[in-house]
Amino acid sequence: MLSRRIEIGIGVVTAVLALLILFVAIPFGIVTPKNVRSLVLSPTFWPTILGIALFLIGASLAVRAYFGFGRAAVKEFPSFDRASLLRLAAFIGVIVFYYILIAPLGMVWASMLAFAAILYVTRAGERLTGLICAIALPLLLYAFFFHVAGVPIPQGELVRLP
Amino acid sequence: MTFMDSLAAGLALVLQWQSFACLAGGVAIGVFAGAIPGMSATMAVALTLPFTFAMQPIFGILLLLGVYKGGIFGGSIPAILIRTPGTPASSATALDGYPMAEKGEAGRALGMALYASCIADFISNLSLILIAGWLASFALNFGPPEFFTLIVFSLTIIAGVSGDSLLKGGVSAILGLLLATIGLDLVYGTNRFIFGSTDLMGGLNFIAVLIGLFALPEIFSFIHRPKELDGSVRRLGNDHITFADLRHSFKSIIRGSFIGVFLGSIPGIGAAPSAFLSYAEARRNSPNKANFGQGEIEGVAASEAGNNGVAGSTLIPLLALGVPGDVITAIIIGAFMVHGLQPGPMMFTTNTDIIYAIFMGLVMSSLILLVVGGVAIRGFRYIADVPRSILFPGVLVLCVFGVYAVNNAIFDVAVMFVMGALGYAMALFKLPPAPFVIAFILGPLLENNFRQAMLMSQGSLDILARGPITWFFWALTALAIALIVKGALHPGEEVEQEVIASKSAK
Repeated sequence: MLSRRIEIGIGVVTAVLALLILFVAIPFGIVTPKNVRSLVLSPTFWPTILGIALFLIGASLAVRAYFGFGRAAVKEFPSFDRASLLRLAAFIGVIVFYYILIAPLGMVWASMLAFAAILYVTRAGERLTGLICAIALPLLLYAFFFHVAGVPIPQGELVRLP
Repeated sequence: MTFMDSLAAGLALVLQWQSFACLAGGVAIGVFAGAIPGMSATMAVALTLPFTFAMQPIFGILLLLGVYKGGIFGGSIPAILIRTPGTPASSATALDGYPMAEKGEAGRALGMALYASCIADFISNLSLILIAGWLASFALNFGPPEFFTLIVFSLTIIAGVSGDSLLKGGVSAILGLLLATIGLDLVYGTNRFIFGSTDLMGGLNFIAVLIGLFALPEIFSFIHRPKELDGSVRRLGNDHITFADLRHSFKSIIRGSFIGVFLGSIPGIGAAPSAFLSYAEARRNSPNKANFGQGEIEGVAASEAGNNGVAGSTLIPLLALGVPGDVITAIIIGAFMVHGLQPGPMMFTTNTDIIYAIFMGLVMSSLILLVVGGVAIRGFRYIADVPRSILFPGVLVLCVFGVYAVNNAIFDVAVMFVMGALGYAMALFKLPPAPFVIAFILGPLLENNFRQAMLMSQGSLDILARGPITWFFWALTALAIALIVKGALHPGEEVEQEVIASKSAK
């Protein structure tokens, strides 16, 4: 169990998410045919049951934390200093750009750049070994998936591999 | 097909050099990955899965089973040599393994871990062979209401025992079930939660979800705190395991193996509780009780037997009922599906050759583990030296190639990234990922069986309690909830186990 404040937060967020599912996602995201014979066979029935269950569990979590039920030991929530937050933000940036660059550059070159960028973000000690791996691993994976498994790995427009 | 025909067909499949190569390669990959702290058997199986797509089904499945077996044993090597369990289930092994290593008896401790693992694994495989067929023939009588109640029971127990509380496990399971509803409706074929995206029409690719949830959160954690492992690797020493050591610990190994078999066959329990229970029982029954925790070889034997005793038996619910008992078997069910196979009772009538080949392959894997494990013990120093700052970017690239290879879809890579971020958030807030992923896999099966039952009964819920099998599963579900709630109200034993685990990690 985390601290009381965080546990209440988890419960409230879960309950709000359930309400969004019940009142926004299900009405606007599920197409129900007009010829449904029985309520239990409707495409909305199962998600509605799950939404209601999620709301009840979320509310129970919040209530349990608020009134301090349960005597489990409190576990520490990991601390986030400025440097770790910056690193995480940079990493999210790397994976977003990695995804975006796959189409124009190709998976191999995008992977090399992403590998090298993560080495930079984490201030890796063994830079030379890291860079060799950044170049070799995507090439090896390309060789396996393209030539052995027959998977058409995206190549991009710039430099195409045999 | 008679029993002898099935056996011959299975033998024909398994007695090929590719089968041996896949098993041996799988065990080696598993031991290697399990021995690297930060990697886990789950991650290793998930990352190996895409490499099996181009293989014949039996070779791919044997490769993954090899990785699974090797990964569970591999976790014990760093637990003994650097007191950093490679897998959570190896925490109990560190309790006596590391003090032995400090005394210069690491070679003896690792030897015992290897022999206990192989014996327990062998017993677990035999249990699988004996029980799975019988259970599958019984499950052939199941209709949609029976399967629905079975899955409800499985999800309840998985949600209840996987994390902090039943409520958090419930949140995780319901989120998994909701995610599984994305795509086309099973009965009417209308859109559900697609919001105009054609990529979502077929639902989310479960391999992208699995890899995202189990490989990427480790990378996020590393980025959060990018530090290399500290602590020195202990030398193996000149002491090696003797026959007298093995005879002295034999009772604990057998007891631990059966504890593992029993707990492993119940969905959701997993290897860690089994290892701790086996350790506690060995300590209770040993004449050297006082020596436990200070370098008692019987403690290493008991923990490893409990840990590896689950390896075969977790496949019992998977093969016989089509219900994955833990996260690794959830990934393995993915491999079956990718190759067009659906585990469950019907597989015992339609694909008996593959079932028998798996049985024989598993028995062989125990012997292969003995050889590969022996080599890995000597080579651990090199495995431990793999810098995490190079390992994790490599894992990311491997994930991207692997997930793309499933459907040749870049969209799946995006799904994996989103699932990775979700998995990291779940880890921060102590929401267990196991109920999420198992519910995601079982979700369509659960809903399909529910709706088939409703079609059969013309909308009456009475069909869900139509006979002794459904009553049995409802009773088990109620009992599981009662026990989980009781456990939550009296958390003494759980706290004690956490204290032992944290001691071993220090």
